[in-house]
Formats: sequence, C-alpha cells, structure tokens
Amino acid sequence: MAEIQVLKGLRYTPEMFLKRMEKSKRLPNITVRQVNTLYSLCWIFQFRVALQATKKTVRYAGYYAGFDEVAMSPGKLALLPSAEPMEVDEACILADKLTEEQALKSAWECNQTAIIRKYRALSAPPVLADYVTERMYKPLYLFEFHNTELDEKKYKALDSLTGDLEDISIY
Amino acid sequence: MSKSILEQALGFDIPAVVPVMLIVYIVAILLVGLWAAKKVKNSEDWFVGGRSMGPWITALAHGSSSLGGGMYIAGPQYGWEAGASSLWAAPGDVFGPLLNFGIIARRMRKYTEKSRALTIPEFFGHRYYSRGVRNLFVVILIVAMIISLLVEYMAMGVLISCITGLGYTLSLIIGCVAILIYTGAGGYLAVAYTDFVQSILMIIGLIILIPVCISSVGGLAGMNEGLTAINPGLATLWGEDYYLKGAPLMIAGIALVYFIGYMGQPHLVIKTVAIKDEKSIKLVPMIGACFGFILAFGVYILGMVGRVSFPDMAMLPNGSAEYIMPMLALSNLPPAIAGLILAGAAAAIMSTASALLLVIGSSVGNDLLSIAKPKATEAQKMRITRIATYILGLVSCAMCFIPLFSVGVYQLTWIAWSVLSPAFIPCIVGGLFWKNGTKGGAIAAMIVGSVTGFAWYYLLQDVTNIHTFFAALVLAIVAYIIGSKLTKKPPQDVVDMFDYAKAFDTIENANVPAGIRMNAEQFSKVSGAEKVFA
Repeated sequence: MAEIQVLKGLRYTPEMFLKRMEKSKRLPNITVRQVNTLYSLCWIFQFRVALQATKKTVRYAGYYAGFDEVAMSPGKLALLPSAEPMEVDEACILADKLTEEQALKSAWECNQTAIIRKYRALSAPPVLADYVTERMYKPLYLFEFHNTELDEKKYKALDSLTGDLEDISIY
Repeated sequence: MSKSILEQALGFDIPAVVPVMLIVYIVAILLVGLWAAKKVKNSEDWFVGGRSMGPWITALAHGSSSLGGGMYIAGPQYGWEAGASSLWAAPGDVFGPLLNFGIIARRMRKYTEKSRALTIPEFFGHRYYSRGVRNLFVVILIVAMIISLLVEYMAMGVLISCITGLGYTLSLIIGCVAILIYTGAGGYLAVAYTDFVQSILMIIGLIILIPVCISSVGGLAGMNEGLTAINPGLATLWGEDYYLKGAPLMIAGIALVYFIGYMGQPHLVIKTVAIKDEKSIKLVPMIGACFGFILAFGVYILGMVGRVSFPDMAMLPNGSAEYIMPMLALSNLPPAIAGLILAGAAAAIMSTASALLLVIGSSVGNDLLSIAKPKATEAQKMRITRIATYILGLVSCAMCFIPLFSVGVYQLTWIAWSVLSPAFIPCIVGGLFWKNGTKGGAIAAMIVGSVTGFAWYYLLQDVTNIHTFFAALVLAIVAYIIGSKLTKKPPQDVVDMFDYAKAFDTIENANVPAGIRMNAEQFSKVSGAEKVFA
C-alpha cells in the first residue's frame, strides 16, 4: 500500500457511467462492471512569475498550472485543486511518464505563451522566479466489458477529470 | 519539322512518344494548377496558401522549388564541366532545407503570423520598422528574382526545343505561357500542389536515370577511369587541372552557396510562412534533406557520366553541356521512360519558375501597391498581383533575348544566388536571432551584399580566387553588424515581437505517448483478468 494525494471534487463518477450504460439499448450482449480504480499522476505547479512591466519595473504575479500524464498535455488552472491523502494498492498507481523537470518545462512554456499573448506590451518575456510542485493523482475507473455472446472481456478506464473512456495499452 | 540540334548531336531521331509525353505532362500540370485556383478564396490563400500547408507538401514544394531548372539543366552541365569537384556544391542541397526549417522556420512562422505579414517584404517592413527597407528589399528582390526566372525560362526553352525540334524562341514562349497561366490563376496553392506532383516525378525520373547511366559507363569505377583519362583532375575534388587546389575560399563559396544560401531565398523562405503548424515544421527538414540528397548528388553524377559518354565539346549541341541530361536520357533509356524523365526535368523547371513568379508578383501586388495605394481593398490587391504576375512573367520572357543575359543557365543561376542570398541572409537570420539588428544594418547589408554579389563575379572572382558568394556574404554580415551598432536600437514593438517569436524556440515535448500504459503483470493484478484483450 502507498499513500498518495488524490484529487477531490472530480466531475465524473463510475455510477454515472454505469447508469448511462444501463440505459443504452445498443449493446444488449455486453455487461459492464467496475473492477478497480487506477491512479494517474497530475503535476500541479504554483508559479511566481516576474513580469517586466517597463525597463526598470518588475512586477510579480502568481499562476497555477498542471500537467496531466494521461492526456500528456499541460494546462492552466484557474484555482489550486484540492486533494486528500489516501492509501491505495501500489499496483493501482500508474508509473510516472515524466520527470518533474520535464513536466515543469512543459507547463511553464504553456503558461509563458499565455502570458505573452495576454500582455503584449511587456518589456521582456515573463520569467519564472519561483515555483512549488505538488504531485496529485486523479482516479481512473477501470471497467470490464463482458461480451456474453462471445465470452470475451475488454477493459477500458473512465477518466474522472475529462469523462473520456480511455484505452489501455499493455507493453 | 526540321531536325532538332539534339537529334543532330545524337545521330538518331527522337521518337514521337517523347514530345507527346512532355505535352501531356504540361497539360496535366495546367489542370492541377487550375483546380487549385478554385480553392483560392482570399489573399491569404493566394499568398501563403491560407497558412495550411502540411509537412509533405511543404517539404517537397521547397525541394522542387529550390532544385529547379537551375539544378536539372545546370547541375549536369556543371558536373560535365567540373567533374567530381562539382560534388562540393551537393551537400548544400541536403543541408539547406535542414537549416531553413531547422533554424528559421519556427520563429519566422510565429513572427509573421503575429505581425500579420503575408510576404517576406512585409516581414522586412515590420522587423526593420521601415517602409524604406521594405521598398529596397522589393527592388533587389525583383531584379534578382527576374534573373533567376530567366534561368528557368531558358532551361525550359532548351528542353522543349531540343525535344520537339521547335525553335528556341517558340519553345521558350510555350513554356512561359504554361507557367504563367497556372501561377497567375492559383497563386501559392497552385504552386504548392503542382510542386508536390512535380517533385514526385523528379524523384522517380532520377532514380531510374542515375543507375542506368552509371552502369552504361561501367559503373562508378568505369566513370572514374573515364574521367581520369580525359583529365586526371576531373576524377578528384580539385577539378579539371586541379584548379581548386590552393583555393580554399573558392571551395568555401561553392559549398556555402547552397548550404546557407537557402536562407536568403525569399521564394524558399516563404514556405516557412505558409506551413500549417509547429508539428509540421519538425518533419520538413528530414523530408527535404532526403529529397535534396537524391537530387543534388544525382544531377552532378549525371554530369560526370555525361563527360565520360560525350567527352568532347564538339559532340554536344551548340557546344554546350546544357543538353547533357536529355542526351543521356534519350541515349540510355526506352523512349517512353526517357519521355517521363524529361517531363520530370520540365517539372523541375516549371515548379521553380512558378515559385519565383509568385514571389515577384506578390511583391508588386502586395508590397509596391501598398505604397502607391495604401487603402487598396483585398480584391484590388489580388487583381493587381495577378496582373503584375502576368506582366512581369512576359517581361522576363522577353529579357531572355538580351545578350547581357545570354551567359548560360548555369552562370546565371550562380549570379542570381550570389546577389540574392548574401543580401538577405544577414537581414533574415539577424532579424530573427539578433535583437539589436536595426534598419540601418539591414539597408547596409542589402546594398553591400547585392552590389558585391553582382560585381565580384565579373571583376574580382578570377583575380582573387575567392568565390563571389563567400565574399559577398562576409561583407554583408560585416555591414549588417556595423550598421546596426551605429544606428538607434529597434523600437519596443519590434523587440516584443522578437521575444514573442523567440519564446517558442525551446518547446520540446517529451516523446511519451498519451493514454494509459501499464505492463501485463500490473494489468492482470488490477483487473483480475487472466487473458489480456485490451
């Protein structure tokens, strides 16, 4: 078992998906059940950014950014997400895809671009003065799809953050 | 119809299928161009293809525009004259696209997109915050590009006349009219799509022709022996009579003229403006380098084979090696395939000529018109640009008959490159990578680069043994730096834009695929499944 920080307040739950599948009449031979919950890393960064307002004046601003390792894409965050500590089976935690440095670089570049686009009159590009990193995990609900006619089982995971049903690639 | 000079030199009649294939090909290209013309909805479509060109179209269009008639006719000609020493120029065509898209494309695309520049002169006008710089650029560009265009027209005239037996003048006019019709109608879209088709034909043509020709002279060993027998220096990198020995600056010039010369050619740099997105920029250099590798080395080797097959100048039509490629194709291949390859040569010429014509036309329509009539509407701009394209195309066709420009395809190619590239390379590269580059520096570099590029070739190259391109480039860079240091720094707007373009320079996404990935053991643990179907 390992203790991780799991994101709170996520929109999509397994019940919602199961309910939707129950309603669907297109897949009469397929039964769906949740078999487990996986956890994928989301990097959360708090940036302190130096903005060169004029040649001599530097102003500082705070921004939040994240990097989702399922989507492999950086993003801006309007608010700092909350998380709670949770003990989970180590097998359920997906391996890290990036180092902190790589995630930071990508998230910062995404934010820097947004800042440059927003403040066109800056004297110089914004500079990352300081940052705090947090590792939070988002749940991915693992579903088993059983085709009773063929007696074949397939697995997909519901992303609790985006609502996407993700394929699982095995290596 | 009278016998063409090529038939006289070869000693047999050219089969009818060869000119037929050439004509069919020209008609097909016209149709592709006119089809592309239907897609043009606004000026951005016309000038830069709506900035929506994918990596394959961009890379192949870039390749076929750069390696045009100058390459297909002049390359073998240079190979015939210089032997193995011509290979000094070949790596440039491999690395040229790498530098163009590997170094300047990302920043150029970002800068022009943000500043809403549609043409390279517009980029100059914005980056050097001066209408004067933009106008000077346009003037140099039009003069040098027209010289380049003459090269392509002449090459087209040579090709059509030697295949069909028509007179040179009539052949030149037929080629010119075909190019004018589709470029004028479809703009960048027509040029990019026809270039794409043409580049495929160019590659197929050379892949067939090169091995057949090499084996006809007994392989590479036979080619070397043949060259050595003619002149021992021809089989070495020092050239006939070892004329390059002790002339390192001459070699540097020959190698650099294409190596970094690409970055100063507006009709090639515009491809970086028209590319779709950042991802596409990454793919283009590799595709372009492979394309350049096949073509550049291929044409010079063809010239060397031609020297072995037709060693005496008296064996060549008009005593000129310009015809060496058609001669090799017709004497070594079945008529239908020879026709296909010669259509490939026509493809190369037409694609370059259309790209040049497009840049000249858009410089007049978009840039000069904005001076004469600043409030011109988009429709007016388009109309003037099209008319300018037609008029300048015809004017340059007429200029082919002026004796001053009758020095030959290969010499004219080098003059055009030596005038254009040294004048523009410091301004384009400096403008994107050196924040302190100013309009004073740009004006100095353009004047010094273009004047030196033109005058050095005629006056000093033979005396100093320093290649025109090398001399002009070094002097232009020095002029750019001194001019920039002595004048006032660029305004804040320009510096902001510079920083904006630079900010995108370091984006390198980790090469990890998206999605959920786990090993089989972990998967069976979490799912409880014995057999994995995922």
